Amino acid sequence: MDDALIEEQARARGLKVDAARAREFDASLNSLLARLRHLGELLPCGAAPPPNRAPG
Amino acid sequence: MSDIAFLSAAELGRRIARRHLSPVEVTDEMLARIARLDSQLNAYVTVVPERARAEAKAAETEIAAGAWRGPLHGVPIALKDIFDTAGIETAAGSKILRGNVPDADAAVVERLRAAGTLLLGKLNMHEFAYGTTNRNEHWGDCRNPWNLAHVPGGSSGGSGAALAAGLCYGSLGTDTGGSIRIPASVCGVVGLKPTFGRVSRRGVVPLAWSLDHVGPMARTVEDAALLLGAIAGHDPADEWSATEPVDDYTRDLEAGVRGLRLGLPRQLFFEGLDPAVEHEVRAAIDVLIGEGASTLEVELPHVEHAQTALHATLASEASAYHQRWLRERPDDYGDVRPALELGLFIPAVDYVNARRWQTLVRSDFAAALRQVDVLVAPSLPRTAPRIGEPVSREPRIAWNRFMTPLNLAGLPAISVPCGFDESGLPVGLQIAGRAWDEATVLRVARAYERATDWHEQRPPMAA
Repeated sequence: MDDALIEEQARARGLKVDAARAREFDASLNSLLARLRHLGELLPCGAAPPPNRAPG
Repeated sequence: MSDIAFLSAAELGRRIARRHLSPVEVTDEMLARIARLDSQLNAYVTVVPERARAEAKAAETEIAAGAWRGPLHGVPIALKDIFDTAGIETAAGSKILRGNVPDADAAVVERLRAAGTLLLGKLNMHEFAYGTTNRNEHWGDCRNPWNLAHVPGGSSGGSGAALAAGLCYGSLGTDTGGSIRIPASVCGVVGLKPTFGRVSRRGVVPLAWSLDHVGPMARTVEDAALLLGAIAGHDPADEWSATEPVDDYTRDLEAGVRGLRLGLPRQLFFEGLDPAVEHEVRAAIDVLIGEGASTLEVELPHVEHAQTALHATLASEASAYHQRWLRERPDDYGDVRPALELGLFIPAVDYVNARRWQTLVRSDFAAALRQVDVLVAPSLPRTAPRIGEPVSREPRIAWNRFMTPLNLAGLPAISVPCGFDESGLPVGLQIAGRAWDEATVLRVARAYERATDWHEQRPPMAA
């Protein structure tokens, strides 16, 4: 995402994302989203989220 | 009286029960130590001397009247400032919650009071528990008693520092991505994250609902067992609290490890270690083998991406909790603000996929723990960083990367002291077990503790 889009999305969420921080924020977000995309590609079709109860 | 400051909570409780020590004198000694030493550490954010003395007097009167409540009766403790305490400010290390004085105690505070403990005060923490260093621009940084230029770990850093410096006899922390075990490891004390659902989170400021655990921090394994026994159990007011029966966690503490099988994870946990950490942890495993345990390498094929899955889950849930304050009071956040804002941009699909990965991680651990009794590994790849040294959240090098898989798995995991690096900073050994089997985790930890004397070392500043 570019800085303008980040700022626009931030505003849409009612946030004040400092323009000076946008680039750093953008890099962190893109890195996380890339890792999450990779994670999604590795997931077997059958994997479901865990039940909302303790393990055992 | 200074020789009593480092008694274990269990031994202190025994002496109080026999009326060899007075809770009032012990409390006065603790308060004097806090006044003398805590300006160097900043472990306490609130001290409640009048209340502590009144509770100590009440405990002494009850015990004298034969109304002994159990092994923690009259023992002074302190709590991370994330637990609601009726009438005492609970700010979770933040500016946002400054002035928040709860009407009621958290469930675990109620239980510790019922067990007869008395409260010295509230302890420093990373803002809203979202960080691993306990740097804190609102309440001041907390410092590591072993070297004041280094962090005490986080987020429960005040708990680790206060225990290591002899400024309380027990504490509680919370652990969403290692926040009990990190400060335990780098401060040279014991920290136990129990099974998810074992301990109620009612009245605890949340970080991420599906990952938050409450657990004991202490100077000895027996103390951790006693504290867990006091706080464990079902609470209908916490939706995710489990109904699983509570063990007597002290019953098998001295049973040793002969015949037990220790699992050594083939993936992740022994990669990228500081040489001093590797040396101390390998030596610790040798100690357990010498005590009669055997070892087996086990596979955990999905843990490599556990850090990413945890990051997405934690960030999404934390941002949901903080969304309103981020909109209305963004400038009142400190260093956690960028991480909280980041979570607002994680797509729902990625959050769900991270939760799906959690299932795979749980399955890995379940399969491994069918072959072995516990897993052993380093708590952290390195010792405490200097204050101000950057700490990366990047998954391959994040310093809590050996802890986060256990948060996803929801399994019990303890950190116990197992040595020091060349500059005198503590190293921790992590022992993880099957769901609801805290007893075996504690038993292995106690066998190691009994065979070594790391838990008896004291930081020079605390002498």
